[in-house]
Amino acid sequence: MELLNHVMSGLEAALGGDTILFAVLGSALGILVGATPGLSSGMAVAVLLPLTFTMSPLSGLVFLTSVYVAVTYGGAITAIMLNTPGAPENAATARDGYALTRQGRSSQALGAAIAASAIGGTLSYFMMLLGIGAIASVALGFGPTEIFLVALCGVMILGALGGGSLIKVLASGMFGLLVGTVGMVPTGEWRATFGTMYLVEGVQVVPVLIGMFVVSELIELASRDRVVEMRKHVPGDVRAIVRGFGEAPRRPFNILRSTGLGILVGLIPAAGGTLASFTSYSLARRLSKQPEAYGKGSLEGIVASETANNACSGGALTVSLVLGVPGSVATAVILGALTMQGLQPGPQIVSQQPVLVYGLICAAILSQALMVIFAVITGRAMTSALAIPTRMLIPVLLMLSIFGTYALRNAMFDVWTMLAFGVLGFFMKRHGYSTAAVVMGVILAPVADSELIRTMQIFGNGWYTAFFTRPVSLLIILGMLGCFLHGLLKARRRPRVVEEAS
Amino acid sequence: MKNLSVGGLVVPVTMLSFTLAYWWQAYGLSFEARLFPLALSLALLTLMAGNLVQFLRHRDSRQQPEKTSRHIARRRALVVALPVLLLLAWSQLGGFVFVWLAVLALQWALGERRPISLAALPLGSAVALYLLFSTLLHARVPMGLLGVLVN
Repeated sequence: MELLNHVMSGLEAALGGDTILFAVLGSALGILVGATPGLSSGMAVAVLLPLTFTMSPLSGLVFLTSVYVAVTYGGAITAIMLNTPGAPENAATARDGYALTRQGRSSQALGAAIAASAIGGTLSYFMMLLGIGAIASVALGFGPTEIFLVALCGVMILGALGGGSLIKVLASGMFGLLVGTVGMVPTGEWRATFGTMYLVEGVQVVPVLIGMFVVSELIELASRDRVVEMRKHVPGDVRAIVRGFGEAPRRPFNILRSTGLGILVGLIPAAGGTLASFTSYSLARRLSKQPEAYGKGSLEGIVASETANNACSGGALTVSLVLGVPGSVATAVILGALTMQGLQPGPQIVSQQPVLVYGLICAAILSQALMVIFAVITGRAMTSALAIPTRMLIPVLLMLSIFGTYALRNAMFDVWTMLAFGVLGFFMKRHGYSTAAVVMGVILAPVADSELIRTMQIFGNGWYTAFFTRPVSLLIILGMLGCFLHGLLKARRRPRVVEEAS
Repeated sequence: MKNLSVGGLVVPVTMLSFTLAYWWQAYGLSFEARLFPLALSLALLTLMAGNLVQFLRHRDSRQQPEKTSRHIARRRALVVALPVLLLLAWSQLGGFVFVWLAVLALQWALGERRPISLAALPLGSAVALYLLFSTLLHARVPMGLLGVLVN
């Protein structure tokens, strides 16, 4: 009954005046940015984050969540039409999607991708609606040792599951955590503030986010004249796309399996949609009656990857809200927006801000319907508009980044910070370091730091034993060790594989 | 050391410099305030040492980024340098003039030569951003030269 009341109040808030408008606006902008290759989901949400500064918490979060949901849809369009995934989570879709386009069946592929995305996303947010209360109740039992370890998990998991060098990703995460510890300590001391008042509240997350995700990408894009070189003109056919919708529900087991997998991966801190999409794709191929068709234009493959990467968003958002640990790069930005609005993520948020939490989930479900409409209407038209010259895109996005960062505190200090992190982020990407790990670190450091100090204050002299005597803590430590060993093994295997391949 | 590049040194040198500067500032803290950053710094230094060992053993030699042509390097440098130069005069120029000049300079540096685009995009961006941030988001963007002209 309590859940029903929360859902009703959330629905009322989501449908209220400006919230629905921001959902529509976020969906439209998200599709546009998502369909622009080179602009990742993290970058899309980061570049639009400053627009939420003066919105109400619910409107701001609904706007960003709509962008987040839409980016993955938009990314599938260019993956299928141009063999250029709009975001990394659409890379698996490009394999079969573009093969179908070359066979003249792009409308069918687009229809299947849009329907699979909508079903995966909707099921995922419905699960979130029903399960977030229970997950928050479990998380309420977490003490400072568990929260400290979960915060560290975000960085560890990126190292173990990410594509780059384990050492470099972990170094990036440690660097981010160290940067995040600058500022006033819970003990009242000022730590590494370099004599400037701007650092007393710590290094602001927004300049780091925009620098690492947007500015570094723009510097990289400067090497090209256009974001995408168009290969051919594709005529529009909305009816054929709608007919393609039927391809997804025709594979109910694939849909349910991919949704479950997507949600599970989303619940793992920092794992993200790319992992969900590739895992689901691989599993679908292993279980398929026609595994040889994968990579040559299999609709099953498209359904598996698109369902999973959209289902991941519900899990990622749940873990971000309930534990304060981002489930993906884009939810790290949403978490940044939440703290910027003065709200503290954590298990209490469900009971203390039910209208916000349930309103956000209801709006995310509504966004799925909006996505389908936008994707069908604009899908093909956008692919021909995507040959954007970088000489127009870079100046505009760079100015938006500078103004957006400045507007945070009306301080040029933040703009210089953003540019510094942008340049550093560019070199990090070129040399195999992880910008996502730095951002995760900066976001998670204050949580980890304050929880470690709380552990010392609560458990006294033998505080470090608490990590091993509390069962959940021990379980998390074992999980982290497992991740670390997995990463080490993967790193040892990789040079051998490369040598064999060459 | 044949694969050593200046670009490859930027990240480790930045991380090391930051860690040293951090402790130069934070050496006198209490145990509680010192423990977490100390553990992170030690972990970071260990990882960087591991990275150096890996580099010396040429494990990463296949992952070196492609050599960048001088033309591309110049374009990338200008994307950062032009806004930085104009930002130094942020208060004097004001937000509107800053955007107008920065967009125009960046477009030119990236190879735009069409007069319509060079006229419309800087002006359109300046008007749109100024209205969006000053009017809608209530940011205190300085008026600068525009204020002098209006008054």
